[in-house]
Amino acid sequence: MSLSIPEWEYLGVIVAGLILWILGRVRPNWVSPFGDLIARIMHHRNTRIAIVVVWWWLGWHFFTF
Amino acid sequence: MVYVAIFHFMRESWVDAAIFTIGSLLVIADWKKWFRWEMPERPKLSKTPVLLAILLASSILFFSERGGWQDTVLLLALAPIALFMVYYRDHGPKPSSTKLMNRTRWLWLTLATILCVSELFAYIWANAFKDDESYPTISIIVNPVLESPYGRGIFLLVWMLIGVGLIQPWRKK
Repeated sequence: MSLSIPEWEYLGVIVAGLILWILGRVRPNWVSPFGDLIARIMHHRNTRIAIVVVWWWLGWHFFTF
Repeated sequence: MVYVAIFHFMRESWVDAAIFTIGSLLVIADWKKWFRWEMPERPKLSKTPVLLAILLASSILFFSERGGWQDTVLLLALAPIALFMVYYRDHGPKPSSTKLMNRTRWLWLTLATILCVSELFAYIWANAFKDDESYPTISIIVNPVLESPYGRGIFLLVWMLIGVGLIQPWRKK
């Protein structure tokens, strides 16, 4: 299976994200758990609005086009 | 968000540009306190209505055609609900920023930036060389999955679970 350069990049980001997520669970003194990070950034209403807009746009972009 | 809106204006994707412009205006309006209305308490929902909503939304996408009016109505209905769910007043003191949290934030931010830059360059090269097979954006990769009703239903489930995870409607505090 041959992947294009962007596909390798996306795959690399997904794998790195998975590693970070697992590290957050098994080594919370190295990297904070992902849930803690989300709770931290969702503390401010301004950030909450921005994140919800981006999340909603992803749905709009993928489901309505 | 303003940069993303400008980017979408430049590529003449008017709906995306409008969404990010409205999003930017909402953030600015909140920052400048243009809205007088305040929601003191964080709205909470039990698991049953959230799970029913996910099931209903997945069914709509499963049985409708992609890009049909049902999808548009569903998405337009979800937008104000999601915004309402996060529009509560901030509670408690700002959490202190520890070294660990800063490191975590930078790591995730780096990954997100790499993803965005990869996507941006794939888009630029695909347009420059008229070849989106060698330089596929994420949309190009995901499109075949979304053409199938099963793919759409599963994708919606994942998307909504991410939304529920972000909003956390049943969190106590």
